[in-house]
Amino acid sequence: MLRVENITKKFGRFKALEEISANFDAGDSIALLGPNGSGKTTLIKSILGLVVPSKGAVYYQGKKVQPDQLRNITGYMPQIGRYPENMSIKGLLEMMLSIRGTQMADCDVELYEQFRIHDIEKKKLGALSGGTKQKVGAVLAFLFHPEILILDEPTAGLDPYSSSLLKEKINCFRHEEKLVIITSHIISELDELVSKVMYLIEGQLHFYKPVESIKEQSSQTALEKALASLMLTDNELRLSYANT
Amino acid sequence: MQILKHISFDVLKSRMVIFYAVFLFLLTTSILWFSGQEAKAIITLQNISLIAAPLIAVVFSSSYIYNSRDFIALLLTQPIGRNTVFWSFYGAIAISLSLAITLGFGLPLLLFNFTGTAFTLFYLTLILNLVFVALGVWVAVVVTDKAKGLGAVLLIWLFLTLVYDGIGLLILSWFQDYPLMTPVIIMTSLNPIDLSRVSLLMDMDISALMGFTGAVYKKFFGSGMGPVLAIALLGIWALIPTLLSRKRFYYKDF
Repeated sequence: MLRVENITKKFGRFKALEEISANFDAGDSIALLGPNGSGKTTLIKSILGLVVPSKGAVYYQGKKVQPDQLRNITGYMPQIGRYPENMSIKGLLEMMLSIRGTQMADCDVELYEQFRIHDIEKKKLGALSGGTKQKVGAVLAFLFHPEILILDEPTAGLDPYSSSLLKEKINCFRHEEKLVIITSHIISELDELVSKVMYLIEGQLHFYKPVESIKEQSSQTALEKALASLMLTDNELRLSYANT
Repeated sequence: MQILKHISFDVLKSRMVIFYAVFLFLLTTSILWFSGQEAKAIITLQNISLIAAPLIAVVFSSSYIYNSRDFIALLLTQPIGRNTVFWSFYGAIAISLSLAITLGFGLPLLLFNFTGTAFTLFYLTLILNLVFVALGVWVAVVVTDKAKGLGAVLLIWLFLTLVYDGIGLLILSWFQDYPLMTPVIIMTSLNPIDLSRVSLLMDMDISALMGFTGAVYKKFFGSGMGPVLAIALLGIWALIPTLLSRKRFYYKDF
């Protein structure tokens, strides 16, 4: 469904990403893991077109695309620090709807209702707590029935209840033969969400494997433990964490 | 257009813009009230409009862009062109600050029935505001680090208001035995604040008080084409950083 080929990104002399190639199929749910500074966010941003790769291309259904051609079908939940302070949640939603020329009635409002955003929609975005900002970000990511969903640390800062609602929503989504890419530091909570793990170290693709094969290889049933036991045999993997 | 509208409202509701408008209004009104005489009031007001307004414009525009970084990135993942996002932010900041100046500065001038020179001062302030919004946005787009960017913005302001004139005076006193008309005119034209100040002085017709340089300016900027030329030069000053930042924004990594 989506393919990245030889994606390389240099910031000056520093290589943030080096020749990353991978295939993402419909129905896949991919965990993008790696220590800080390994290039996870840069890879996501290259797919989204926020970062222009120095080399390489993105293909969608076999055709080479400019990332801005994918924006209609992509939902992105950023790790946002700051929204416009004086805009209300309602204003933000109106603005996003106007960009696509649609109405709330045509949108996926499940999370909007579950998170009870309607009750607080007059609040200014500058007055929201980190968790509420995350909820607003999640609502926006799902709002326009995306085909590709890209989530950057989705459950960071969410309360356990909202976090479980969001995970349920993500699971529903990936069973509709769509594509999910998630970065997270909390590996234990990815267990129930992902089918493949992509591991980056210093901008290079270290491995890209189905969760099942990682678990088999280490004969563990939990992803977190499986990765931990991989580290016993994989020096590079272990050192990548020791350095951060 | 919808984005421009929503972002403009966000800027207009910010405390800084409201405070700016109210502060300008109170200050302008009290100066007009106490000085009585138009010429005196204009000279005092000129200091606000030619020194304070550029400072506010350049600092506010750059810090607004820096604070909106995450949000700009989110907007850029929506099906919308980078140019639209750029012009929405640029327009929202320029329109809001112009509105603050119109209400805080233009309105009192109108209330006190001032004409002619006061009007010149008002439109010069508006154009200078645009020039410094453009400079602020440009720095915020080019320099990624916020602390460095704000430092750069303050240096630009300090240079154009103080340092530039100091260098100009030094050159004038060193080379006073030589014909200086052309260099003086060129130096003035290259600094938007000096350009506005000279245009205002021409308008007040007090160039005779300035001795040699006054005569030089009078000959060049005092003619019928003078104000038009000054506005055109200020327009170029606003246009160049705007176009440079639009281009940089288009290829920028967020």
